[in-house]
Amino acid sequence: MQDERMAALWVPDWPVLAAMSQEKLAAHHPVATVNSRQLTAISEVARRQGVRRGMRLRTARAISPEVVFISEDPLRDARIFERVLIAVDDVVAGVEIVRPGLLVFSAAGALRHWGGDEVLAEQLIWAVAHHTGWESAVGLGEGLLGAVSAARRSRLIAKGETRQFLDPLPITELVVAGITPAHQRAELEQLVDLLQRLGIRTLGQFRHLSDGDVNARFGSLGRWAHRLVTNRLATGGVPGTIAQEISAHLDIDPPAQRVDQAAFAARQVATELHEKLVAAGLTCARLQIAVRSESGNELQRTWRYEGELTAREITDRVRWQLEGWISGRSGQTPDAGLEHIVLTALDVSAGGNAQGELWGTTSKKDQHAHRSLTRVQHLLGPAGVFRPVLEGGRSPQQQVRLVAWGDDLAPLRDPNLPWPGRVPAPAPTLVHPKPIPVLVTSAQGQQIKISQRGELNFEPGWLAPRSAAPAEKRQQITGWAGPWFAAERWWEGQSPRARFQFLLESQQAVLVACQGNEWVVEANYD
Amino acid sequence: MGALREIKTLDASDRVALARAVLARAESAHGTTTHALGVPTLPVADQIATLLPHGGLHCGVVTVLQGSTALLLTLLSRASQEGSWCAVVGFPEIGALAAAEAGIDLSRLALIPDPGQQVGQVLAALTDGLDVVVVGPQLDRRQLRPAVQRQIAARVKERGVVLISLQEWSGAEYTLQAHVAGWRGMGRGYGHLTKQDLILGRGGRGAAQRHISAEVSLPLAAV
Repeated sequence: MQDERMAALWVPDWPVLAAMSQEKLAAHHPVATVNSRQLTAISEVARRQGVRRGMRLRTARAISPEVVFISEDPLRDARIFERVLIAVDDVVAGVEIVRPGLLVFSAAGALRHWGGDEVLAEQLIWAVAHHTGWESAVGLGEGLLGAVSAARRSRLIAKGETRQFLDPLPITELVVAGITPAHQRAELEQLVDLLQRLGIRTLGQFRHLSDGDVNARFGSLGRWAHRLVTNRLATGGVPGTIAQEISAHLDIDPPAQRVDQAAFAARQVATELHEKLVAAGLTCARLQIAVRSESGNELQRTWRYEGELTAREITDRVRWQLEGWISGRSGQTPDAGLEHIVLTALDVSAGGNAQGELWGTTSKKDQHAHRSLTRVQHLLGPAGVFRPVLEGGRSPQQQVRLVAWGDDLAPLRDPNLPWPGRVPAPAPTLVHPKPIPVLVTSAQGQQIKISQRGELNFEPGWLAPRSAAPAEKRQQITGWAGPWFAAERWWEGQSPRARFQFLLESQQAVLVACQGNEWVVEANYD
Repeated sequence: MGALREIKTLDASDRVALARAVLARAESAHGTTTHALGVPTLPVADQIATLLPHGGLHCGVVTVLQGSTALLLTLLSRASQEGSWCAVVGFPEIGALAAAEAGIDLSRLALIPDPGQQVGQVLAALTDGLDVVVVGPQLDRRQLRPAVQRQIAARVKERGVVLISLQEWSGAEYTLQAHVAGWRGMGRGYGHLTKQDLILGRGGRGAAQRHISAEVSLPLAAV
């Protein structure tokens, strides 16, 4: 099976295309997707203007002020890629997704059906262009790397010539091909850099190293890369492959019709599959996701996965796929809620020492806590267990975001930026989910207002809850500090908000905010 | 009386040894033990260690804490930094930013703002896998009947979990009562709150029976 021909279909700059499609941007706009640090993908137009992947935002803006920046979103990439998959389904069956933007399949059957390399490539490119409007490239070659590298050059490599094609390619092709998951990319870049410094500059040179030498010197990732280059990855028939199918099932009750329900289900079933794999000491190269809807329709997709397979990675793929189906962007919306999921690990092989721990954590203690919190989440539903994430912002409500258990903890706004107008530490220990409206008056009972310049008309004297009878529960203000001004969204006509700290006669300290004449208690220092 | 006269002539270390010997005799006579040595605890910041009966959070018992959220956060911080998982149930107002400032590792802090009708099951599940469980003030009292409390306390003991209740808990081992004595850093129209002075009282059963009171200023990190 080693010289099995594979075909790859590659849509260049996929993250940008997905982003442009979602934002409905025309093709002539230079566009780049960005994360918090740098540009992660750029469109052809932007590339022609001199913008490059990996640049900092500021540099890119200096080179070309017109570039539209859109934040990266793996979910969006996967969801929109479903359209390409549907287009490809018309031409071939059994495609596997390497990552959004790149898919591969075993070419033998398709070649027999279509009768030739060129015809197959033509059919694929036409189908994608016709159904989605995107340009794609098709490559044929032996093995995964052969097919993907061929696709990147639009080459259809004849049988038996893949080695001659791959050998002179620079070793950086390992990174550029983008077969590894994103989180291993940096590690792979380091490996390639090391190989280059050792004088191994082409894939051919790397291929000629012996297994033993690679194992001894370059660790598990090196071994994986060597197998990729020598075309001995775990796909059918490779020594060490175990003829065994491991799967996880889940009945979703009530059937999932919303994306968040599906995500919750995705996590459960992914964790189960991962636990089974870990328990058996196995890993898999392909992940098949199949769902059945209430009305009995079945949908199925296969994801190819290279590298360490963690529960997180499985969850992501299942979630992307379910969201792709449910959100209906795929054009193949299930007509009813999803009621059954089956995850199957294909191409199962013995997991090496690279087997990741559950949820990427290490200690037993963490695992126990994870299990226990997941159980609580099962009891209470997806919105039952949270972890707090610090966010950038000015009010105590803004500065914390609760993230459902198991979701990504990355902040949306950088909390380490200065955020002028933020009340100095220590932060209040009791933050009211809904600020409590109050009345603030001077010692003589006049209402207190703030001028546009931040001056108070009187010194604060009394604080009273707005609902109860004022005289009953009102408290004397014995100390106060502020104001801290936060002029937010002034372009939308919001008047500035001023925050004060009040110390009350009962020794309670509160954080109050005033906007116009409205006073609210946002938090207590308890 | 002879023994008393004898004590006066001994130096400090001998007195301690004598006291221990007397205690050991009393214990063997009654078939009980004090937990003075070898009690499993989770560490707390040095400044507040002296306030706690065994110099840390006593594992396997219920502690009631009332009057100060800042003190709660301070109690949890050291254990959290050293890898313990904390869950806070029924306390939607807890300030996560203040928690982070107190030194709690937020990635190991789980919040369950509203366990609804399943308080018992949720607490049972949490005591199974977490190190510290905090029962918040918003937890439905009707759900936390004495029978449920006893069940949970038994689980806490079995699993060696630290359970801190911010509401009354029948049969709690210790109670910590905090009272705000004053705030520093603020005047009338200037400065900002920097630190609060707390007066703490401790009571409880067994080893904690010795009532003590102490003062502490929070947050500890503030100057």
